[in-house]
Amino acid sequence: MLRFLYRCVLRAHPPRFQERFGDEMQSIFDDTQDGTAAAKLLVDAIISLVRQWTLRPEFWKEPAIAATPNGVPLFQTFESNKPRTQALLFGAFLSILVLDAACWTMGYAWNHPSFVWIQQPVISPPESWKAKPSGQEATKVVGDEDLYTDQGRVVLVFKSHRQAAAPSESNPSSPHSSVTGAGSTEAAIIDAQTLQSYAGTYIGQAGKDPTARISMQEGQLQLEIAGHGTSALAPLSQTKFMAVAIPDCWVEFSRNGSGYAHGIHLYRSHSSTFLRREASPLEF
Amino acid sequence: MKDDISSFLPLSPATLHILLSLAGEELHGYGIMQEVQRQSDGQYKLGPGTLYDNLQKLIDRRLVEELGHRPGDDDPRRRYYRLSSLGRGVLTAEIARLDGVVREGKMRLQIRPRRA
Repeated sequence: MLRFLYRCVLRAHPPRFQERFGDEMQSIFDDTQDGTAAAKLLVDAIISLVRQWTLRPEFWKEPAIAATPNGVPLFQTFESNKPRTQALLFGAFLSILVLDAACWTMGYAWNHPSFVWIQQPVISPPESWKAKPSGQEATKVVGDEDLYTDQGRVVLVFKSHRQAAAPSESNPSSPHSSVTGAGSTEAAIIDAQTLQSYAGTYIGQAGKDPTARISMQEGQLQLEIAGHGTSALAPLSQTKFMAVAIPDCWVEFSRNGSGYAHGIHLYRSHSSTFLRREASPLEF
Repeated sequence: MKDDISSFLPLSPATLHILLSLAGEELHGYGIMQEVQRQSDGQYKLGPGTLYDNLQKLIDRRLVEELGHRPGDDDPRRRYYRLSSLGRGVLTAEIARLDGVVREGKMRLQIRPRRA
């Protein structure tokens, strides 16, 4: 440690003095074995440092350039190789300015994603969800907002405390269906009779509208859209269901006053289509 | 020449001890420090900073000559120095001056008790 400090003090000496006597002073320090003597040498070097920089201006200049025997310099520079103090200060100021600009740019880009493409999840339920479903006017839904994941996508699910508490009050042993996956502990619970009442074929009004077939399989509703695949329906409320296997697909059953589901609102990719239920021959 | 020598006098204690240590043989810096310590019976210790500061002045005034490195030395970083003829003359003059000072001092010290 003392040797390192001594070397630092020697390096701080004026260039000419350092070049001429630096190695010898270091040699004397290296020959000193005693720690106390080494400390005294360090003090002596510090005093020498002050003396050389204050009282010996002749040592402040750069060492003379080595010359060949005929007097011609081997290498000559027109200016000192050390940067000027003004240049160093300007460089430091410029570095701080560039760093500050880079930091400001990163912060601005993060707060303004339009400048830099940053993929952020869009969590927005369909507008129709904000309205109360038909036939449920008496039920006031006070929902908590939880985030569920569905195949890597973020799904916003609205839940009702009153609906979650329903089984314990009515008939806990009755068959029911619940949302599978994360968050199923507070999912909507619907009895099997209601689920069975939703099964049927729903036909679009226009020619381009799809036809959906909803069936009951193993206590769970299955949605089959012609030409778009099949998926299980996970209940979100008494009338709203999410198609688990079809991206951005939701179903909301529309019931009349007697509770009969006469149609569904099919939400797919932010568009809604109403499909009217095909009348079953048994119903007539 | 004599006027030139007298312009160097009186010598500072450090300069005197350095010239005196080099009067016997060629020495490197560490050798000069040890010789100064030996000559003064350990009462005067010269640090490397003081030594080389004075050596530089003595070299510039041509009182001391730098010989450079010696091939057979243990440490190649050491440089050897010797007393120049001018330096020897200045040292001789300083010793003579100091001798007169010593004689004067002894005389005064012998007289003073008699006055009292």
